[in-house]
Amino acid sequence: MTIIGREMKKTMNIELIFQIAGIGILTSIFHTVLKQAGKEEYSFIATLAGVSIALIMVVQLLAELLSKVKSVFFLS
Amino acid sequence: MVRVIGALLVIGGCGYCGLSIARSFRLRAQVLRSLQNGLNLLEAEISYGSTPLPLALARVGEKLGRESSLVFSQAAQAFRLHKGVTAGEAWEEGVKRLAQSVVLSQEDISILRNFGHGLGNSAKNEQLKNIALAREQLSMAEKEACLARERYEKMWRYLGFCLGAAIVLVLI
Repeated sequence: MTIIGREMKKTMNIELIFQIAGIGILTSIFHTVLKQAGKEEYSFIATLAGVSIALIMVVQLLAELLSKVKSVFFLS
Repeated sequence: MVRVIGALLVIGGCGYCGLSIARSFRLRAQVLRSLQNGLNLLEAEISYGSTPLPLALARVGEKLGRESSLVFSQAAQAFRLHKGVTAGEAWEEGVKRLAQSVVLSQEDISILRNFGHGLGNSAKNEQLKNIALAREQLSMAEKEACLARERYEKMWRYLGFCLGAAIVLVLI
């Protein structure tokens, strides 16, 4: 049971990495296309949106990591 | 399986929207160009042929491309169907029909409307001047449309598909 759970978590994490990589690629495409069309302000907004979407995706994992670090050093 | 179909549908839908916006930019420049050709033909019909206006409009409508012929052929049809209609009113009908089928800016439509006000209510010389004025304005509008097309057509073509892919990535 625990092994299956661990496996699932592993594949999910890998999926998340791919997803974030895809968002990064698309964000860069958005940025280039919008900049070429002379809409610098929109290209900035698109980049910002990409970064924040990626951040929302990983914020749970970041919290997990922080709490683990805390527990390692007996801070919690 | 359902996921893949849904993803394809989202990407296809967004891509189609982007492509249709890009096409509207292209179509506007094309229509403005061929409207100028139409006015040239109308000028020739009036100055050399001295053709009556309904017939001249119908002839020009036959010669032009699909979208821009609408305004001429619709005006000619309005002449045929409604007895006692003035040239300006018939032209107005044509402009309305054109504005329904092609995305034109407000300025383009007002150029055509202003042309219609002077159409068919004065001597030949005045008519030719009116046509020359409208053609000049249309050529300026076309230049602007070409600039906008160069800038935004490519952008929308890529942006639609990219937007679809981004939505799929976030939702999947």
